Amino acid sequence: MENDEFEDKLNSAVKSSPYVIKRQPSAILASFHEQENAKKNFRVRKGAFVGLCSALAAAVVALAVYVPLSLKNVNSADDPASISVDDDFVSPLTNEQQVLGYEAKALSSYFVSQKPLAKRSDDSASFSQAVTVYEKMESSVRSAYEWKDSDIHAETGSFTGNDGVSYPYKLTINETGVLLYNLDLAKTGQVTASSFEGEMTFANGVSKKASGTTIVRGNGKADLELRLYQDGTSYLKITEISTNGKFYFSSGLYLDGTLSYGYSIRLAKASNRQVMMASYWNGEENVEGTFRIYRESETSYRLYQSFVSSYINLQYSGTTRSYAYNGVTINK
Amino acid sequence: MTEETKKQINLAIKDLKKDPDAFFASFYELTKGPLYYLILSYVHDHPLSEDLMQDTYVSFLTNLSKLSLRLNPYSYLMTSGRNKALDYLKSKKNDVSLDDEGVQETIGSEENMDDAEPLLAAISRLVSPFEFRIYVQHVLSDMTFKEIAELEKRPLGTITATYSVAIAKLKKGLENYGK
Repeated sequence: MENDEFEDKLNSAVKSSPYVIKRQPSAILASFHEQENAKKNFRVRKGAFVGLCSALAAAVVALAVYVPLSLKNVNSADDPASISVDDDFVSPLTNEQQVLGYEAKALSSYFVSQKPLAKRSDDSASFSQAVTVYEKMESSVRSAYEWKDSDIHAETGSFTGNDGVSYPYKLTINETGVLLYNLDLAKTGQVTASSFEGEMTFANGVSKKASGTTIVRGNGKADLELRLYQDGTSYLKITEISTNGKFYFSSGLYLDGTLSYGYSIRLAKASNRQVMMASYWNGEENVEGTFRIYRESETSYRLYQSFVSSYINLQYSGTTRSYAYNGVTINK
Repeated sequence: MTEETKKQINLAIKDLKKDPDAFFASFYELTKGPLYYLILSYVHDHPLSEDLMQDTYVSFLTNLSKLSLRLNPYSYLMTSGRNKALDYLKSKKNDVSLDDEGVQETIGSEENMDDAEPLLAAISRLVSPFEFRIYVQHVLSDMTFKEIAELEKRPLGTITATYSVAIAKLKKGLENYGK
């Protein structure tokens, strides 16, 4: 292939699938106006730094706690994608809360295991606060999930795969329901893949389907997809992808095959930073933000968050602190 | 960038000066791609580029009233984006070394591009950071070699030669591409 021909083809390919820029012009305009207002109105007061730290912590908590819980509000009781449970199942939570509880639990486990900046406890008050909230949520959800022993039968056994490896399993079957559970496990080299399709028929005759796949590659990579069906085209889809240093979690409510509500969180770790990006689709618009922690050295780091239309930049260097709001330096 | 697009941008800037709230969206649509990729060519990080792009636009809007239409505000926007990227990289000087060839190493990692643009990520691994910058500015920011030379403050010959070297490296590195 001639150089020119190669160049044309390469450049066309590069241009053909450009990165989709997510930042909305309205967010930039809002940031601009906020900056203008900040210039006019913002006055540094004693204690402002503490307030900014609190705002930062609140932003973290709001992102991962409020956003999932806010789905509760849009999932009304007659939502076709709500997940029904048997009447014998006693839980103080609504159906939607149970599903969200699972997600909160998964998120909680992840954040608790990560404990960002835990090495610098003095500087990690914001994150410690967020982690504490997660831990409380997890505890609350776990206690709310307790099944009554008299209502269930549990069977524990093992499944031997084609590779001769024994995989333990546990099935929990409701006394008045029927659970059909097809489990498929395969292991090739370092890759373990499993998939399942299940259908539960409840006492009221209503059947619900669930399906999922899990792939663990053995080198720090794992994929999980779980779908809880209301019918063939309406379902809740939960996706989790983790690789070395990166984690992606998304949850979407699909009605008639179309994403109606959903959010995603992506975390990435590089040598000097951790990044959390979140987006939330409320059915009409996408709201998103990022949260970054940059480790600049052992004695300095920078916290950077951009949610919706504003951001706070904090920088520590030894005993010196500087911070800015929406790009305007407040104090040095 | 075509002359027609440049005319549209100049008209959009005129409108923008009259009423930023009403006309920013159309100006943004015309300019976000070139500006975004210009910043990406320095920092190699998609989300970071979006943040720096926002900073650039906010700065541009802040100074809009002072900008003269005769002095090519679009060029000002692009230069401002470059400066935001360089300022950021300089603030990371513990991790980044600057020398005569420009930014030798960026804090962004190709991991951040792998997900969104695997081909671009592959290109970034095959050429030097400076070559990557020239390639992206020319192909994705729609800049002419002359414009790149002015922005980079380098001789035109250096820019064209660098681009040619990048293409040669990519042809070798992506030899299976296009077959």
